[in-house]
Amino acid sequence: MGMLTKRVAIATFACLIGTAACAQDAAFDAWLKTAELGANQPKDENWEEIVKKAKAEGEVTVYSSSSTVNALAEDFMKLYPEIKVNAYDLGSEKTIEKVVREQQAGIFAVDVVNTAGTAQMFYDLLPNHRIVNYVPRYLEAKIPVELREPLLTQVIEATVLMYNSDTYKDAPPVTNVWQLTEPAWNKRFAMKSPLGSLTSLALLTSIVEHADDFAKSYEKYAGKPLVLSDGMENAGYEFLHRLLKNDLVIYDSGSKLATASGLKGQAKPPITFSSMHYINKNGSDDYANAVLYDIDPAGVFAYSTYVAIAGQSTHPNAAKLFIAFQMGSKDLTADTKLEKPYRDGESLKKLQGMAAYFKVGTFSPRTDVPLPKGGENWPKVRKMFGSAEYQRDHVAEVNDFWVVETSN
Amino acid sequence: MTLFSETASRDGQRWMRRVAHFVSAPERLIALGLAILLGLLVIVPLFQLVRETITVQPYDSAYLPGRQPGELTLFHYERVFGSRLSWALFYKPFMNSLVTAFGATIICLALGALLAWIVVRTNVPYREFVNTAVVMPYMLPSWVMALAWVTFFKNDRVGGASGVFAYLFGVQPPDWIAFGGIPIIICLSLHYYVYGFLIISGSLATVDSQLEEAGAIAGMSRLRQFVSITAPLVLPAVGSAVVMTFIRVIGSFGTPAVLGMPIRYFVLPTQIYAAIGSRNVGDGYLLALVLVLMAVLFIWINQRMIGVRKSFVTMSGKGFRRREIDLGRAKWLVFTFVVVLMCVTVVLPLGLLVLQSLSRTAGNYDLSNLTLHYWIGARGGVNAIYAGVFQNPQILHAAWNSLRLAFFTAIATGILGFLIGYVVVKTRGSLSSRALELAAFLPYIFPAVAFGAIYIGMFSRPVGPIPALYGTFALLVLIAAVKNLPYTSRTGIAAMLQIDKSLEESARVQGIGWVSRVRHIVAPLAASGLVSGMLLSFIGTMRELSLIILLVTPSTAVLASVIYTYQTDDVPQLIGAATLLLVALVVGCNILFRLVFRNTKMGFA
Repeated sequence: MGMLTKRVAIATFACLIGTAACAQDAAFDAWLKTAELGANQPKDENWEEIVKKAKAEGEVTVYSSSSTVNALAEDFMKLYPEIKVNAYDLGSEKTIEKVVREQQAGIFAVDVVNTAGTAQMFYDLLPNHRIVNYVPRYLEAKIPVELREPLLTQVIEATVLMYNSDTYKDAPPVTNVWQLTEPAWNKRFAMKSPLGSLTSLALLTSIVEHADDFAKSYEKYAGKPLVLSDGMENAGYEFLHRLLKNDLVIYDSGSKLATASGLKGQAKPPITFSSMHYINKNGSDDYANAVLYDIDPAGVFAYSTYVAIAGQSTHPNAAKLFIAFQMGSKDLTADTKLEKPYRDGESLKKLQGMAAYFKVGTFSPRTDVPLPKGGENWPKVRKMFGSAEYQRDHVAEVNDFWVVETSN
Repeated sequence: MTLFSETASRDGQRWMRRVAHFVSAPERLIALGLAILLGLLVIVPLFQLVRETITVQPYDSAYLPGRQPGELTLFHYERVFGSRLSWALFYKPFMNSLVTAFGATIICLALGALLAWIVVRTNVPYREFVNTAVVMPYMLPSWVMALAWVTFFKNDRVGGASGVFAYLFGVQPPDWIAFGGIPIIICLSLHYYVYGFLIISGSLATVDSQLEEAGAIAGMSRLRQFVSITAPLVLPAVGSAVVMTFIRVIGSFGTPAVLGMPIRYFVLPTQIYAAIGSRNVGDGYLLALVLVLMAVLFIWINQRMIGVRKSFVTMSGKGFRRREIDLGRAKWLVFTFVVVLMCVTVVLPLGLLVLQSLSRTAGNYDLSNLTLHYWIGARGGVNAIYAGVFQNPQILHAAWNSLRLAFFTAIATGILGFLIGYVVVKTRGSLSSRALELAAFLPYIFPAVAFGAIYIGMFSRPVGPIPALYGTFALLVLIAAVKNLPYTSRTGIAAMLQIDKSLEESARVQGIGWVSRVRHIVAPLAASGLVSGMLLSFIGTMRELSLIILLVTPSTAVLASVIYTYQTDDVPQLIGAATLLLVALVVGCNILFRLVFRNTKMGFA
C-alpha cells in the first residue's frame, strides 16, 4: 500500500514535471510563431509593420553587460520617442544569471539580452530557449556568417596589453609576453579579477587554449624549451602561474586599469590587461595608453559581445527594432563620412545604435561600415580568438585554477 | 423516513454548532493555518537547501560529464571540504568568518555593556541625550560605516582614487588598515554594539541596587558584589546579546563585501554571494548550510553555558531603588567619550559621504573640485555615464521600491504579529501554542545571507502548489516578513499579554462574533505594542542588504542593492549621494511615524 502510494506519487510528480516542460516548449514554439522568429522569420521582413507593432508594444527591456547601454537607450528614444527603453547595465555574469533565473521562475521581463560570454550564450541560453538569435534580413549579406550564427555579434571587443607611451616614448618596453614574468615587472602587471567577470575569465581560458603559441614564444625568448612547474598542465597555465608568482596586481574594476597604465608622468608605470575601448580615455582623460600590437605571441585577445532576443519576450517587435537600431542603419557604406559628435544629428541618423560604440575597441561586425578614427588598422591587427567549444569545456577548470592560485 | 431526516438534522445541528464554535473562537484554526504556513516558509526551504547540496546542479556538467542534473551526488561535499580547492572555497573564508565574528562580538559586548552601565548606573550628564546618541548607529545601514572607512583609508592597493587619508597626509595607509579583517571587525563593532547595549541596559535596569547593598552589608567588596550579585543577574541578558550579535555579524554581507572582497579577503557570506552569482549554486548552498549549522551550534553552546539559570525574579512588590554611582569629575570625561563615539559612528561617516558625494573627481577634496552633479546633474557634463540621484531613474525607482518593500513588510509584520500573539496567548500551555512560538522563532537561527540562499533555492522554480516567486516583488516582502517573525511574534505576544482575557470573554458571552471582537476590542488595545514593532521592521527592512542581495532582480532592485552595485562599479560620489538619500528616507519615515502615532508609546527604533 505504502509502496503503491509512493509510486503513484512519484509518477504523478514526474508527470507534472514532464507536462510542465512540455507546456514550456509548446509556449515557446507558439511564441516563435506569433513573434515571427527563428524558422518563422519571413524571407522579406516588413519593417513598416514591425515599427508599427513595436510602437504599439511601447516598451523594451534590455539587460546588458556594458554601461554604454545607457547611452544606447537614450539614442534609441531620440529616434523612437514612443518606445520606452528600460536599460540595465548588469555586467556579463549577472546578465546571464538573471535571465536564467527569471525565466526558470516563469518571468519574462527581459526582451533583449546583450552580453559577452560565448560558452554560456551558445551552450546554455541558446539551446534552452532562453534566447533566440535574430539577424535583420537586410544585414545577412553584410556580416560574415561566423559573426551571425549561431548568435549575432553586436560588437567585437578585445582585451589588450596596454603600456604607457608617455614613459616609453620611443619603443614599447616589452616585445615578448614572458618578459612580464621577470623581476623587472614585479607588481607592475595588472588585470581584472576573472571571478565575477566572464570576459576576464574568457581571456584566461583563451590564453590556456593557445598554450602552444605561448610555448613557442618562450623558446624564442629564452632560447630553450619551457619547463612546466609542478601541477601546471601547459604553457598557458604556466604563464598565468608565473604572472601570479610575480605579484600580479588584481583589480576589481576595469576602468581603474586604464588609469593605472595610462596616467602620465609615472616613472615605472605598469602594463595592464585592459579592455581595448579604454584607449579612448586618452582623449577624454588625457591618458597615454598604447596597445602592444607587436608583442609575441599576441597582445590582442578578441571576443564577441552578442545581442539576442530573450525567449518569450513580451515585446518581440520592439526587441527586433532595438537590435536593428543597435546594428546601425542600412544606408551606411564603408565610405560614409561621419562628423562628430556621432550621437547627434545626421551622424546619429546614419550610425543609429552604432553611434555610442563608434570608437576604437568596439568594432561592428558589419563589413560595409566605416572604421572609427584610430582603428583603421583593426582588420590587419594580429589577434587571438578563443573557440566556443574550448571555452565551454574549460572555463570551470580555469576558474578553479584561479581560485586555488590566488588563495595563498 | 422521518426518523432518518431527524437524525440527519440533529447531526447537521451538531455540525453547525461546531462550525459556529470555530467561527466564534477560531484560534485553533488560525494556529493550524499559521503552523502550516510557517512550516512551508521556514522548514521546507531548509530541506530544499539540504537536497540541493546532494544533487547534481546544471553548473556541474563540466566537472561531472554524463551526469544528469538532479541525480544524487556527494560531489559538492568533496569539492568544498576535501579537494585542492577547499582551502580557498571553505576553510579560509570559514576562518575569516570566525575571526571577524568573534572579534566583533567581543568588542560589541564590551562596548554595549560599558555604555549600558554608564547610562543606567552612573550620574552621567544629559542621560537622555546619551541614551539616544548611543543608539543612533542603528538608524544607519550597517555598511555605511564600511563605505566611510573606505572613503577615508582607501589606498592604491586596488587602483582608482585614493582616500581622504592619502589626500591629507600624502602617504598611502598600509594595507591592513585599508582593507581586510581589522577594518571589518571595527566597522561591524561600531554598528552592532547597539543590540548588546539595548538588551543589557534593559536587564541592568531591573536589577535592584538593594540587592547589592545587601551584599555590602554582608561585608562584600565592590568587586565581590559585582561578581556574585550583579553579574549573575544580568548574565542571561548578556547571553542573548551575545547570540543576537553573533548571528547578525556572521550573516552580514555588506561590510565584508566593501572591505574584504577588493583584496580577496572572503568570509562565508561573500563567498556564498560569489558562488551563487556565478551560478555555481552547489558550492553556495553548501556554504549556506555551514553558516546555518554554525549559528545553531553557537546558540546551543550558549544555552548550555548559561541557559540553566535562565531567569531570576528580581522584580517584586517591594520598593525598587536604583543607586547611581557618582562619577565625580570623571563624569565629564565619560560624557566626552560618548560624544566622541557618536562622532565616530554617525557624524564622521555621514560627513565623509557628503564630502564624497560633492567631489567632481573622486579622491580630490579641494574646494574647487566641488559639484552638485551627483545630486541634481543630468547625464553628460561632469559624468558621461551616471546622472545625479534625482535625475537617475534607476535610483529613484529603487528608492520607491525600498519604501514599498518596507511598508508592505511592516504591514505583513503587523498582521502576522497580531495573529501569532493572539493565538499563542489564547491557547497558552497547549501544544499548538508552543509549536507556533517555536516556529516563529526559527528564522532567527538563519544568518541573513544563508536565508536568502535558501529562498533562492526554494523559489527559483515552481514546487508543487507554490509558484516560482523569483523575480517578483512579493518574494522580497515574503522573506523580509518571515525573517522579521522572531521579533514580530515577540511584540505580538507581549502586546496580547497586556490584555485581560475577561474583556474579550464578556463580549463573547454577549454573542459578539470574532471579527467584531477583534475589531473593537483586541486590535485597538494591542495597537500600540504592534505599531512599535511595525516601525522596527519598517526601518530594519529599509536598510536591509544581506537578506535580499541574492534575490533582487533589475526591476525589483532596492536602494541598498543599487548602492552596492555602484560600489562594485566604483562610482564613489553616487554611492555617497544615494546612501545619504537612504539615510534621509529612514530618518524621515521614523519622524513621520512618530508624529502620526504620537499617542503611542514607542521603544527606540
